[in-house]
Amino acid sequence: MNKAQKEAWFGLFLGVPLILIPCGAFIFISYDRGISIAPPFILAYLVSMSFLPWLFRFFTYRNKKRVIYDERDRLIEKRAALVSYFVFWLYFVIVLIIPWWVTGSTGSVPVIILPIILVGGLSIFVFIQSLTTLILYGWGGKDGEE
Amino acid sequence: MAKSEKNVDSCFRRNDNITNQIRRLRFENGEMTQQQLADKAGVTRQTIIAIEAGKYAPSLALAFRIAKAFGVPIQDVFQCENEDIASAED
Repeated sequence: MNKAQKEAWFGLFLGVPLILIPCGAFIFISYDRGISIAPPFILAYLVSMSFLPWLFRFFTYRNKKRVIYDERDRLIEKRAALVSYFVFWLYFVIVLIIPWWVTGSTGSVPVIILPIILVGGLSIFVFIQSLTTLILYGWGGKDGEE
Repeated sequence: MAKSEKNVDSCFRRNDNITNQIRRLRFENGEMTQQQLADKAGVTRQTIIAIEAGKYAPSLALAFRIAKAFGVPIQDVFQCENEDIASAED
């Protein structure tokens, strides 16, 4: 199992809860207390979370004599990103239409829906990207070693 | 489109028509391991495994590097299997 597969497994099982739970807590706590400072907290949290994988890659030991990322890895990464962007776009269109369909043309939508849509979309993006990566790599396990 | 041109086109449209002799050539070249071939070709061992299994079609540059690692022409490593082409050439 290579590094990309390990990261995909991490994203599949831990990435989504790590996004949903803190961001959901920020949203609902601030909404309950009438505080409108949730967006900066969410943004700071997501930015710091997105930097962690880069820090991890920077500090982990690399065997410079061996190739660990090649054209196949690049192709799988590109395809996984394409699929996840497509699903994210579909999700975005659907969640924008649903409130309008539910409330009707004269109704109103609570503002709290907006950060929920954003956090949900990010979670779906990470989940689909991890899932697609694992499917394209073949779920890891034995690589058919001799 | 002529029949032979159509066969060539269909051959290269689907990866499962392209076969390779990598496993045989590895054993013929001093029982080269997949990792050794990967190091020579500049890719990961997983990529070599996927190419051998026919699950991944390498780029042209990689195909040439693999052929160079074995010291044989590229057509000795990768073949396009199509019975119609064979009969047309005969």
